[in-house]
Amino acid sequence: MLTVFFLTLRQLTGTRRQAILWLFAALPVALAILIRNLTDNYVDIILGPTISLVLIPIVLPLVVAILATTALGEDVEDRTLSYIILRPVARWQIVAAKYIAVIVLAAVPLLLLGAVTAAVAFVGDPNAESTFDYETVIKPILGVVAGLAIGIAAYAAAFMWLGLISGQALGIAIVYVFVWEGIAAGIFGGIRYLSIRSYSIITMQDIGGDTLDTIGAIAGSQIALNVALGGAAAVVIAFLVLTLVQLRNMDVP
Amino acid sequence: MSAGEATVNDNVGFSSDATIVVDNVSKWFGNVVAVNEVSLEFGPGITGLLGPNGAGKTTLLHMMTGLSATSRGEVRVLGQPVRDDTQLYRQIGVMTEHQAVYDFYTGREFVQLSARMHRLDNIPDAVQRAIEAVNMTDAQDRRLSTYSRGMRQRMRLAATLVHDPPILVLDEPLNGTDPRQRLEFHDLARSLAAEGRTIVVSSHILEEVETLADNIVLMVSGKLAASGDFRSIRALLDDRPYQIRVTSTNPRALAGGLIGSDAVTSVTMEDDGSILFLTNDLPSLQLQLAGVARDAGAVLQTVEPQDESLESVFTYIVER
Repeated sequence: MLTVFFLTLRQLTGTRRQAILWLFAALPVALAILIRNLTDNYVDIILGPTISLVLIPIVLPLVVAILATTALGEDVEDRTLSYIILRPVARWQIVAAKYIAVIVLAAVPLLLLGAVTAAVAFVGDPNAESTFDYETVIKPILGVVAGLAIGIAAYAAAFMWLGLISGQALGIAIVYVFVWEGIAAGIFGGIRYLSIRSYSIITMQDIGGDTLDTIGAIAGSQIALNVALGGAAAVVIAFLVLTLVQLRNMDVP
Repeated sequence: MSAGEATVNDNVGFSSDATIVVDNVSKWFGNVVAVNEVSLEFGPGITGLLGPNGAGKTTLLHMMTGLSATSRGEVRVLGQPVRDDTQLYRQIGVMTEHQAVYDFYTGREFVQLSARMHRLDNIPDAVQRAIEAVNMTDAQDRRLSTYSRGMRQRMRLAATLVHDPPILVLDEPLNGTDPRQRLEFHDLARSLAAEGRTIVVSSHILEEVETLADNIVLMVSGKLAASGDFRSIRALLDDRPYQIRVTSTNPRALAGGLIGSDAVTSVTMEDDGSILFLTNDLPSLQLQLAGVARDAGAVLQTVEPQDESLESVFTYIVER
């Protein structure tokens, strides 16, 4: 399993792909720094446009999609999947190794730069009672990181399966993110129960505390934390099982 | 597959020393039948799986190695259903037709990857032995992206051999190799077969396997066309009628002189002035053609064999 894990790391860490991922992930940090330097009342603006409208709905799913859709999809497209399939490695180990590799590679830029984005908002805020304590700084940063982690885990499972079944996985992932989680969820409130974005936001808000209320208000996600965590867990399990079933039953090119 | 006389369109019986058994296997994709009710077996020695492009060789090999499921029938390797038993891959080395590799690895790293996935006890020794077997020691530390097609094929073969499997399934292994590399491959395959391994080598080039394989399985249009040792297959091919198109300065005299010959099955005068001879005895026709032309004072302008494609040769075997 470790061999497949390290192989996947090598496959997914091409210079150009990594540059794109890190540039994407750095976008909220750059926006946050810009906003902080332009206005005194910057916290709500960073939480609003930067985290609610850029980091969560765009940067998070796109970074994960770029990695996850290629984790198995590239093997199918390049016809290198047989190098793994024709070895005495259990199929579930292949799926697990690929999944963990995607999680690791997505988590490093997203969690690191997500935390930095939140830190730009909360560290040294002159309007806060304290410029650096648990409630006003550490807790909201942890909330942002936890929410992103939930999103990474769920998107990674879903998009990895998508990469295995479709040659147009990245395009389908983008349509899902913008049409289903964006437009459809905005029109039909019930969709937030079936939205990874909602799971991420609720986790972020619940763990981050009152300071992050702005994020939930803008995103309009008002489901319970246990529903969000249960939904995310269901997504992860369901799509990993689907990936395993597909890998077992498919004709390997 | 048992050595002996060739059988045509006839599924062979299963013997006790068979390591791979293909039992009434079919594969279809929608309405397209890629492999149609094929039954055969492979045992120790080298078997050439021969057929034109699109004959279903790769589809059959994919089913034999578990890469594809059968639509009907069953494949057993060492008595076990090959699909879903990943541990069987400790006994099988498979080299697929596609030449894609992980370009970011060096040749050595690529072979090491295979060795690690097999969890071999002594990986450095196994890797070195496999690389030496394919004569790639000097280039082993270069990236695969810098390799020629032939070098890439050899390193892929090393990765296939690294766990020392008793069964080797090699799909078009000589693609992209030069004549010297082909000879080296022949030597290597023969030495591996001499150790009692089952080796299946596919090719669409008859001459490529005729000096290599002990037995040959012919596939055409998804069907098993013939199987047997090389000589009997070659005899089947040599028996087929040939069409020869001849143009000359005096076609009527030429046609008249040969029309009663035993070597000629039929003579057709074409609208363009050429003559189409059908023959089952090509060498005799060639000799007689020269004599009749000389006697008639005709100059032979062209003598062209018609329909010499490999596919037409194989199709003849199926239709005869």
